[in-house]
Amino acid sequence: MYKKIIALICFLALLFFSLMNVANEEVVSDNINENKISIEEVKDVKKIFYNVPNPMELIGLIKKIELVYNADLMNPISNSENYLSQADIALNLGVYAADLSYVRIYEQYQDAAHYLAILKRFSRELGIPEEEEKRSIQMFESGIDNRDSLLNEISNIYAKSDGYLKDNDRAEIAALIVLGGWIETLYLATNVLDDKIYNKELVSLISEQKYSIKNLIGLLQQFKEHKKISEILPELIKLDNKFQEIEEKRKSTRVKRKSGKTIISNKITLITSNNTINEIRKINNRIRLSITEL
Amino acid sequence: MKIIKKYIFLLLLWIVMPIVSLAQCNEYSKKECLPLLKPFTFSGQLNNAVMSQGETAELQLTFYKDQEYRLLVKGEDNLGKIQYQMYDTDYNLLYDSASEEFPIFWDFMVENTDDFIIRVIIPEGYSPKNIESGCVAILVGFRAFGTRTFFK
Repeated sequence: MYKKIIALICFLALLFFSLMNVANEEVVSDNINENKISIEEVKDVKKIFYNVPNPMELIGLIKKIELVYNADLMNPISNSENYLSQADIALNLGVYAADLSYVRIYEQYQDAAHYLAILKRFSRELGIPEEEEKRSIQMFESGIDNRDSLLNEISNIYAKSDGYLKDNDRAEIAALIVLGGWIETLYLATNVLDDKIYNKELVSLISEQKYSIKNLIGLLQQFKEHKKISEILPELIKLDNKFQEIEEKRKSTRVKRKSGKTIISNKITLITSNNTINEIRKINNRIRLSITEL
Repeated sequence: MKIIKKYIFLLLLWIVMPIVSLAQCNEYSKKECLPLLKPFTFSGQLNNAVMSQGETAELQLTFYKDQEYRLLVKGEDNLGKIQYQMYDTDYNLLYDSASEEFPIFWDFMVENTDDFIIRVIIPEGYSPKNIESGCVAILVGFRAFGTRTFFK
């Protein structure tokens, strides 16, 4: 009897160990395909992280061109009642964080209060302990009235959600927050442009997402068994294909120092047609709709 | 019966330990490393892992023009001096911390938005029989800089 129990324990241990190995191998092989590095080099790499720029970083780069603040672009506050599953809440936490970043650059603090309240509720619904985000809400309620404070607050909520979820073995939920934030940021950037408004800098910023989408897909592929992620991944790959139509001309990269700063001098020119931007907008709008309109 | 209990306890310990270690590493990153990113804004994604001497990790990410970045790589003291390198996507070496006496962080900018690879190398230990392990954090901070930026 005892021997059978011990054998069962050993079997479970071996099964667990082999599953761990399979998971590691998947991450490594993704890297081989994407970076074309030699097998010898990949063998040495223990872990590969994929990082995606957050909404604060990206929306902060949208220059205040002659465009009026358009609150209609953002996900309506009333929609926040519709998200019940952990996946939908996580995705839309990312969406609302991007909206709040958009509100921030136009200094619309009244709207900011509403969006920050949603982030607080969503954090709670994801199980992030109250004390993790209480401080930021208190600071806001006591009168945040400048962009820098708000940037810090959004960054805190984002970082603490990421940390807490990863602490608790829920990295796929953290990845969904990143996905929601990235999709909404691209939605805002592509939809402030229309046939009448063309801004070279904004087109350039949109085109540059051809790099970050690769890392986003790399991040999500680690959790491709997750239902929501498996639904969105094929659409993201279509979006990536469209981004890769953007023509790129590059010259060799070197490192230089200027005014005490280290600069990676990389000459890259991106050539994007209006048609490609329109297609990117269409696909991304479709993904965004599937996230926000349930 | 005592033997069975012992085996079950060891099995549970074996399953739970990596989870506990991950939580400890996140705590290490938050308390010991995040404050060092100031005055940069944390990018929001915690990259940390338990690593052993002789191991390597990589981080793939996009850096934007008109931002200034701080890359911070810090590990627990028992791991020794941690080396990190930055490559372009063709694996051309752009920066090696070993050439600057292993600073914990490195500030830089890129002239054009592009993808880059950060490689973190834990040095080999003195004795192959006694390999040390510890938490390593790889964090990125950013701040606006340049003409395209709304915030000056």
